[in-house]
Amino acid sequence: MQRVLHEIERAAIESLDGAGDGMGESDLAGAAGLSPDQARRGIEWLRHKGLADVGESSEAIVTLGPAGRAAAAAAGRGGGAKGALPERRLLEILAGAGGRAVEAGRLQAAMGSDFGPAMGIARKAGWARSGPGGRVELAGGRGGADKSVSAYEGLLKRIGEAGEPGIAASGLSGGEAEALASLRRRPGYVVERASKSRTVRLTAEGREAASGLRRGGGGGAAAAGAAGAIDVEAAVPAALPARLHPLTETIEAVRDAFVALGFSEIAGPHVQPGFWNFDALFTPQDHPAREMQDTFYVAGGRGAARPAAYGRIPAAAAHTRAVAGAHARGWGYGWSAAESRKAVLRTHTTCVTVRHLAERRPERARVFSLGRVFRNEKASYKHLSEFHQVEGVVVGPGADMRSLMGILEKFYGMIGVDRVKFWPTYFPYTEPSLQAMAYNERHGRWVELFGMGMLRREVTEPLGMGDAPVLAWGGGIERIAMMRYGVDDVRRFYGNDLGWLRGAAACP
Amino acid sequence: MPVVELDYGRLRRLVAAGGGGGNRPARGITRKGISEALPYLGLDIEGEGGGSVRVEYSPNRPDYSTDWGVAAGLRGLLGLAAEGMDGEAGPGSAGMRLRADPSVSRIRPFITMVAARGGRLDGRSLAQLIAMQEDLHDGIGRRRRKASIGMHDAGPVRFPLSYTAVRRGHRFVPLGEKREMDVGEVLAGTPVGAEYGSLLAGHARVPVVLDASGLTLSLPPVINGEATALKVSTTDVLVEVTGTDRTACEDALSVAARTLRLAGFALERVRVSGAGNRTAPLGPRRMSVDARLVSRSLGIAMTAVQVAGALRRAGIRADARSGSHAVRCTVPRHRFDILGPMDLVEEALLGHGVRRIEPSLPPSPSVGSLHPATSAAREVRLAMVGLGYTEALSPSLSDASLLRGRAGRGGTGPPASVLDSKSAGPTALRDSLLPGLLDALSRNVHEPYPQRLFEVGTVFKAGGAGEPPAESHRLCAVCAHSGASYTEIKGVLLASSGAALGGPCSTRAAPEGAAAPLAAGRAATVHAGPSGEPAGIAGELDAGVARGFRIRQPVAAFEVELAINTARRPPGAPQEQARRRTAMKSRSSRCR
Repeated sequence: MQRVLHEIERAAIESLDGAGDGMGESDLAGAAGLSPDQARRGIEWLRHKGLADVGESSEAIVTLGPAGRAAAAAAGRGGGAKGALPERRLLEILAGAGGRAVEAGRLQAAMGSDFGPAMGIARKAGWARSGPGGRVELAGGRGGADKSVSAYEGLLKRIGEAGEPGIAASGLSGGEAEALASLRRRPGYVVERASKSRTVRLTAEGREAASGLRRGGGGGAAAAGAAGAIDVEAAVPAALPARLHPLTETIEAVRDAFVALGFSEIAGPHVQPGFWNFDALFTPQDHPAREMQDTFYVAGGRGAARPAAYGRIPAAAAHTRAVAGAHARGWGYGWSAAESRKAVLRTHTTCVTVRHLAERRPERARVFSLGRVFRNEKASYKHLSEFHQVEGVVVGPGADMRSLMGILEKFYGMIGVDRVKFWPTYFPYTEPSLQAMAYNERHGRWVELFGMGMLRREVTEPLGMGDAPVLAWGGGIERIAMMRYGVDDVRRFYGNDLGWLRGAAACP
Repeated sequence: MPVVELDYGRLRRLVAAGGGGGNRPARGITRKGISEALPYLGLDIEGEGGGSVRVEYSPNRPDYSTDWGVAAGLRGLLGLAAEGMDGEAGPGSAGMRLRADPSVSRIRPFITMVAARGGRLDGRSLAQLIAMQEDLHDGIGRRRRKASIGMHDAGPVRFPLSYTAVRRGHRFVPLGEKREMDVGEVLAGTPVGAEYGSLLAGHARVPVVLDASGLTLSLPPVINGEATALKVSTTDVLVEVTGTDRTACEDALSVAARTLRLAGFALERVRVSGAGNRTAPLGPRRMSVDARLVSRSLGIAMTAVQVAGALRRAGIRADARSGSHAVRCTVPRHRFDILGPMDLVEEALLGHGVRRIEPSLPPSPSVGSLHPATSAAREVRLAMVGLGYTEALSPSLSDASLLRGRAGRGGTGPPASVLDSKSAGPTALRDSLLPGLLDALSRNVHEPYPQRLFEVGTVFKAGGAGEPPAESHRLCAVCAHSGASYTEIKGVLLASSGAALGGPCSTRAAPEGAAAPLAAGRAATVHAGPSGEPAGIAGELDAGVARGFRIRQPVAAFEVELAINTARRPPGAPQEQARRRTAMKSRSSRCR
């Protein structure tokens, strides 16, 4: 099998090849000439590829505490200097007495609280004993005692010389281990900590790779495949894609579908007089949809408590009169021009379309309008106070409900919605009215997409279009985008969650 | 839209029995069949479960606010015979009169009434009637202002009745209470009083309906009296509608009358007079529709006889003579949503069955095209994605604090806004895209850097006093990473300038504060066009603002007005089209 190895991996394998028992991380770095970071990465790669095993072990490391450092320093100066081990001080006093026993009281006075522990140690080691009358004397001359105490001092010195890295408890001789056990019991002499170390060993596969490298000689490029070959399976840092917003992708797909069906796009402002948003669409001025709880009225400037007013509504006076008449006849009330001039955030894009029709009075047309619309609703997983809507109209001969259903069915097919059916519904400005229902595969139920119908005469007649049939339909884009991207909470589209934006994919 | 809860078992019995609340078993009427047919009445199924279904009905069909109404609709649609029982109420006994006193004229001028006798109510029936009443209040009644309904047990009522205004000291036992209260107490101390009392505000006296013995039937539009409350034992019902709009009152009465009829009651007239009031006519209207209009509008060929059949299934009596296109219809009073022939076209569509119409795609007589602003925005988005920027979208309605203080733009005047409302959501209209993108960076501090975002969108500049705001299209881009700098963002600005600004642009040192929230000394104003008009700002984000957004990486940004606003270079402008045509011509001549 050809295996591509990185230079770091090669260097590590070559070093490990010689070390049967494996090596520590830092040893490996030294032997292979790698930085600690390179060594760590190399070991991870080898382990990932099954070329090396990493054993983790924990070891007790010993360093000196403050009392231990003082004792080691005193031992260096010799004798019972300040800071020396208590038993050293006892030994020096007893030895200084020239073979005579010393009264315990004197020892107590000289050594203070050190006397008790020192005596315990000496007695246990067997080089001091208490005689009659509470006197203390060396048990077997100075030689034996010295040897016993020096073993402790030697260990302290050795640990002291190792400095901060300390020495491993496992590396101590039997005598030293005994001494350590004793010192451990005395506060402040030695400090122990656990040190985790990693030992790296080649696996059988790793050894095979090593022999391959050896056979290839030097860098082992031959065994590793073609010269300069790279590891094509290695993990790489993630590239961060730049992309259009999923909602934009949906919007543009909708636009393209309309253009392909022969529709021309029209556009208009988000702030509209109530006239185009409501009155021209036969929505009576006391309709609940026009209340502030449902519609945003644009404030008339700095801190104003009233809606801004459009100075003049760009419609023919005859049109305005005709609208007033239609409302008076259809809804039986006195229509107010002032009410119709209040500026609202459009609640649908139909206002753009109806204004276009009023201005052009086309005998034939296929136009659509797409943009943001606003409803004063509390945001939830299925409603936003601001969302996108598309709306289209067909004017001209042959504009009938069956064609409308045909256009909608085709449109849905073009944006990937294949199962569509039509249910009756009600809209104030269309008659007859239908709603297109699409089958949501993920949720296993029918969801409402677009509303559709023929504009009422009460709408078209004031527009100057007489009783010409005008097909109109419209609906929210977010709902389509939710189906496309498998999104269950519509707020996601405006949350700007970069992790999602970078990764969101359309459902197959 | 209003919602009505329907019990499947009850609905099946009503559909099978044809009204009257009979108890015949519903053979052949399955729950599935009903559930599938409901949407074709125009009822949206909201939810199902526990043997019942909740449907939303359209506001133009308040007669669907009870299961009697829905069952009648289903019977028509399923071809189980149309209802032929709409018409004038029978003549009541001579004493059944109500007289309105002129004192109510300036408070709540209109009243109308009908009696319904010989019915039987159970708990569910009562619940349906109450639900209908509430739906009528909210819909036609416009929250009881235009019209409100009171339904009474006719048992204790002594005719003749009077509708008159009384002082607020007038005492009666209101519905649901055990003791007498005066009107002031009712308005202040009961929940409905608190909710609807404002409709009587400004009047020293309030309207009441009293019977011959002085019993208070109701205090419209707030509450009924306890004495005439509907009970399970009620067999005779009085429906009273009062309001400020005669049409709304009579419409509401017609729906209640129709519903009680379907529930098995017989209607009897109550003669109403006084202060401009009249007995509401409940008879049908005659209308006519041309079968050719139906065919032309639906796109299917139908004869007048076929149209008449379809209309009958939709609950409208209709007949046609062969050889004539005219279909003569009798529209019941409660179908006041039917205003003209096109409404009958819709009824014909429903009766014919939407399911039976096969969609057909007509050929297009025209070639489609995008709006120039759409094409321009597409070009800009493509350029920005090519430069490694990801598109973000922020709402147009924003918090003023985000647009101003947090984004270091406190020096600018207040943004355009919408009037405060109950929703307590954001009310400011954004006048810059940058705050939204800074907010986006702030939400993504845990995501890998570099982060590069852009948005193309509309901003709103506050208009003069009383004026609506001015709208324009903008592009804003931000980059955030350890090396983000003015140099980088200026490079991006220049690279996108052709698409966004219609040509090259230049940068000039921004005067202090002119490019907030970009850092003083590290920000520029952007200029484009032949005379170098200001087009936006570019620079590094002020460190304090970045801290406020908890962004720990350097940020550089620019925001410019798109050329499409000023038509500096409208895409598809005549000279542009001419240039493209020339280019195409030269290419094609080369091919030859």
